[in-house]
Amino acid sequence: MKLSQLMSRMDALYEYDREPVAPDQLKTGWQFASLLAGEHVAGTEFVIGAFFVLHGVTAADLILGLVVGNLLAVLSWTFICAPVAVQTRLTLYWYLRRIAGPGLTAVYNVANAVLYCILAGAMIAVSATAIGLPLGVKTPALTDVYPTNPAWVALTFAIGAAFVTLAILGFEKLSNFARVCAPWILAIFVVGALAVLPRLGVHANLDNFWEIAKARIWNGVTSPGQDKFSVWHIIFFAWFCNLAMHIALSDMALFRYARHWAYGLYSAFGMYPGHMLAWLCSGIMVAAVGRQMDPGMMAAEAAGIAGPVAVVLAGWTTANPTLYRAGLALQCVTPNWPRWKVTLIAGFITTVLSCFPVIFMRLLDYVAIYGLVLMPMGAVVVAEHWLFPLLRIPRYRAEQTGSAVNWRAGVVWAGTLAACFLMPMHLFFRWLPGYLFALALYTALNLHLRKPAPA
Amino acid sequence: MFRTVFGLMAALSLAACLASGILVFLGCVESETYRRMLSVASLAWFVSAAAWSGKSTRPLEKQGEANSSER
Repeated sequence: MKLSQLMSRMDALYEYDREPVAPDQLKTGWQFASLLAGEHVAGTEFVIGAFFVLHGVTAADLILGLVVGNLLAVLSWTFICAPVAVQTRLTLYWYLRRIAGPGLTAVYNVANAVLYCILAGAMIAVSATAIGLPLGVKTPALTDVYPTNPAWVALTFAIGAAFVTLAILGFEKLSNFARVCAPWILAIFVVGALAVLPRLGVHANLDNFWEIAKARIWNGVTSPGQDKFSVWHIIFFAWFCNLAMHIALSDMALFRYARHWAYGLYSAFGMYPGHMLAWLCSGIMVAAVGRQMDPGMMAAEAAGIAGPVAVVLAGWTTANPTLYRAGLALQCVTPNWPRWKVTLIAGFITTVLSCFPVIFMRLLDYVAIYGLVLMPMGAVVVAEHWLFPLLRIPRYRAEQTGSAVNWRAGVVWAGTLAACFLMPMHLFFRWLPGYLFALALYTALNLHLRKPAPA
Repeated sequence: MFRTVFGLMAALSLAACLASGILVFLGCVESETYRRMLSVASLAWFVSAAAWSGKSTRPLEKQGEANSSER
């Protein structure tokens, strides 16, 4: 397919939100709070909080790390993502198109789609641990990379097929139902943790809760094969967990409806229940089952039948829109395929990936890589939006010159990823120097275009 | 009218889910009773919340946005 054809197909897909949001379409703070509160309780929360226990984080480090890390995430939405969205009233797709050119934006879309597929694969695997429980299918071990038994493969394929079919049949109705699930799933986290506290030795008046938390839950002891996490790991993980949304600006799609950039603060309604309370609860639950990384079994022990149902629903409510978005992102490079066919292909790739236990057993690393891959383009947009006017560098040259690819943005994307790969530090910490590097490099590559100061 | 009733039922069901956890933590109910309570309250939540949501409109959408992701 020619590049011009590809570009026009891609534009057609996003045509409906091509125009900036009109003033009468702006939403209230309450609407933002309710939407964000329901969006951050996913199947991954069952795994992430449990992994913190396995990585030997201490109770004090965890609490401090989650408070600070989530605060940094909220501030990233408030001071980086929301201001750009409110000023432009555009989605990232259309703004990136002006800056990076339609060709590079297409590459970005495909990269995004692949990352979506891997994420949805993790969700299928998490759901498989719950459905496999009554069927007697053994959950793979923490260190497993490849499928360990045919029953696991059959189960993930069956669940993948079900999720994909549902995603094809009725995305919108199902996503309405997914919204219904969110408060209940959060309730199951809280109820499950409460129910297992007596088993860990916590008294009904909570007088020994902190002692038990330090000695039996987040006791600083790592499980075999896991590296030790400090408060810094927790701060950075909580911060970058949604890097693609805030620093990499995907949530421009949401905040373009905000009346004011300070609406970014409403992200706290999603962060603290979903990425603090739910993670703490799943940590308590995994400690109560002797640190076995098996979300289905863990939830069943804590909440009976409601537990595995919550795991499956949490996995499905994450996988369903992710599959849809992967299909949408891939549709721009598929020759006139209908949406169902693209979703089917994306779903097949996702299902194959979900057979590999490494997808969810290394979920924390994957989340780090996911944000890292998309982050440089966020830096390119921020540099062009904020730094270029300050430095009198002309903006939107790709749009003005009609070029399909802004090669400078491409160099920054590839160069930043290469630099991050070579950085001699833990994966979790690489994105921040990488982001600053990308900002500096993109600005430096465009400095020669600087206009002279007015006399 | 119906929307209010379903909304109220949903809120009560969710409160019952949370109450079951608090009761088992306090030692007021046995584990089996807690699990039954939680299952019934959960079922009630899904019925009432689905009915309530079907009668409400969604205020803010991100329909079809490929550059947005899961959380």
